[in-house]
Amino acid sequence: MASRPVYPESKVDDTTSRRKLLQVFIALKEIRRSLGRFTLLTGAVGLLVLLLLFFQAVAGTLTLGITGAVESSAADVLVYDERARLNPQASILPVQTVEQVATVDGVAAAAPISISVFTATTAEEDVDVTVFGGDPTGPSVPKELSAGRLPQAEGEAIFSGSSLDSTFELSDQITVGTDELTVVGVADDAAFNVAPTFYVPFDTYARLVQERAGSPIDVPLSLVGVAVSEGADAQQVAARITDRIDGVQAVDRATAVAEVPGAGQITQSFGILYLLLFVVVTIVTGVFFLILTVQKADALVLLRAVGASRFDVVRPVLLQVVIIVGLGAVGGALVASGLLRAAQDTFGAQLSLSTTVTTVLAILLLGLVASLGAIRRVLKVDPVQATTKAGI
Amino acid sequence: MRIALQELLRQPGRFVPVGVALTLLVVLLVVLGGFLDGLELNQTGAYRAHDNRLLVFADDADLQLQRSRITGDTAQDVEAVAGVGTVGWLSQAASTASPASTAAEPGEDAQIQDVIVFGYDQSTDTIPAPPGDRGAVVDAVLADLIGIQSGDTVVLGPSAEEVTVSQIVGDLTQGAPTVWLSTADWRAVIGASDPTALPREQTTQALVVTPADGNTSGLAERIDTQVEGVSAATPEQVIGALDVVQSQSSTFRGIIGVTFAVTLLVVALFFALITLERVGLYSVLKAIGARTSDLLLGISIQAVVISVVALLVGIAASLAFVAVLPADLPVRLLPSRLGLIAVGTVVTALIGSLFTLRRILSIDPAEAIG
Repeated sequence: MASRPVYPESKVDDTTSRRKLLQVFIALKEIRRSLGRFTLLTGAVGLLVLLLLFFQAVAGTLTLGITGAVESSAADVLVYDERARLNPQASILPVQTVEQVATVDGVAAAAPISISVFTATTAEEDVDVTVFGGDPTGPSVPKELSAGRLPQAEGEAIFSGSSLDSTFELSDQITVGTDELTVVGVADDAAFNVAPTFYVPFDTYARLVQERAGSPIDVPLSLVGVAVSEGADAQQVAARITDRIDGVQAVDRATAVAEVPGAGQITQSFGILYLLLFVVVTIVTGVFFLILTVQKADALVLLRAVGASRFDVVRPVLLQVVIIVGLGAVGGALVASGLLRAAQDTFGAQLSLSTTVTTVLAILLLGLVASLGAIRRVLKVDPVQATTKAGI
Repeated sequence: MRIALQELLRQPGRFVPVGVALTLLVVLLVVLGGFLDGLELNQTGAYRAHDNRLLVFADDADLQLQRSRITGDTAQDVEAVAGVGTVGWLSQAASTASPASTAAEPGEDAQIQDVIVFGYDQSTDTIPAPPGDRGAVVDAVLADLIGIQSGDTVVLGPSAEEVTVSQIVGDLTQGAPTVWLSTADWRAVIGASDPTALPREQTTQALVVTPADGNTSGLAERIDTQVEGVSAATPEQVIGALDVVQSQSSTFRGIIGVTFAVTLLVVALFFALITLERVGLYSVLKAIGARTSDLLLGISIQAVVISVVALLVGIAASLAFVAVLPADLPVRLLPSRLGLIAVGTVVTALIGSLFTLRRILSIDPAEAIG
């Protein structure tokens, strides 16, 4: 004998509340009876959310690994060789540019910044590191340290790592050529070019370069870091430097970050993938609920014929969208978080709570938008059709 | 089987929703595949240009060009190994390039391009012999980007070193477009613009070895054994040793795998719904003698046809989509990748359609009579 559904009538006196409960009951009952179908959709949404969150986490980590050194720099303005197109690695400036920049109105301090990649030897392995040479007391180094202090002597270094690479602690040592660098300070999120990054005094940097070159060559600068005077506008000071000094291009830090090579490419590339994934989630959800609605059209006609309002039949659909898409999104987020945690060494990325919540909400919203086709179909159900053969 | 095809022809609207979803998934797969190939090819052009040769690095460089330093004496030792035909030097440095016409006009920096400048000695099937006398071989990507042709003058680096384009070759992008100079010119140009990037005198970053008999088999091992401090490898092995390329490739392959899983679920979902609709029809068909395998065959054919149509539309849409993407994005659509995606999609759709097997097996022909 088939079991008869038990409605919670005895506990609910209010008619509206009872109707709402009934709608929830119908929505849940249908999910339970067609668990396979709804599980497949939940799985598909979950996998798509997994991909979305994975992309966002990796893109965020990569971008920070590329731009961190510029983003967290103590410099308000950065001065480049005008032919470098704001690419720090292509920029080469004569040493005297620092003095020229220091004389410009609005400049409180100017400091050299030179950048090069070296192969360093650690206790475990050889690793490529980016070395910044500059004035540790000036705008050549990260604005804030998370541990330790600024370098005060030759051979001392601030370390900052991309989470995709090896990390170093205070007092760790690496060998570059025949020179040893000792980590005396650590800065968060100040890596460059997705590589372990060391900030050393300019003299130390020059020695590393000259040893590699095998001769006492003149070591040029890559950039000049500028701290602007109190109350001065960084953009105006940058424009003034560009005007006054031949062969240079100065920009404020935000512009410099946006122009770091590779960062824009990553943002664009992943943006395309986000777009495609959001569209796929919307289409898949919309298609599923539309087919489901078409298949139960007869039942909906019957419900309307026995007195159910349009809202009574729409609400279960909306509830199902929220439940299924919500479960898929949350499940995908949990799996993504677990996978990224497990693969921390490979991807170095973690999900931020804000990114996760925003993505889950966006997917939920898109799910509701996608269900508009199904809802339109439900709203078009005419109870009179119950009186015709085709109706039920 | 005939019924399945008839249904597709007579009621195509019924299959449009899943077709649209599959088409979008194909677009996603093709774009992901484009990124996978684009990222790899854009970073390995110079190595791929040395096919059928060996590249020799310092043995502590992990086959990384920028880490490696090899002295002239070591190069002579390599040349003395049996089976080695010729040995050339190969070095690289990052720089900028622009047509000489814009170099004098600082405001027009749109035509200045980041490049990798190679110094080399040996021609390959792709790269002509070093021109010398400040002549440069330029890859086609750079030529397009800054609008130059053979005979034009290009300026390199912040010191605006002038070189003349002697020949434009195919795409040799190695993280950035490439310029190829003779080793002597390379040292002069890089020494003037960025002396910090130069290896010491009589030192190169890597060697290019052309086998005497054209056969690289066993030669790398002989070089490794007979010459101390070097590691010889084929271009494929060098590309395989690039951490960035490998981690990017494995990430994108994983993502493509998950996308195929989504495709599987979408197809399975659609056919689960379709089968539910057709339970009555299938009962009748079974009652008049149709076997479960016949019904499954019909569903499978529909899945294959839908996936093929989605593939055709999806690939066409992807080509159009990729064509409007910014040129600097690393997306390359290769026929081999498209082929793999096509096979993968059809097989996935086929497997997805078979998810209905349990449902079809449970259909009782007696249901046909109520």
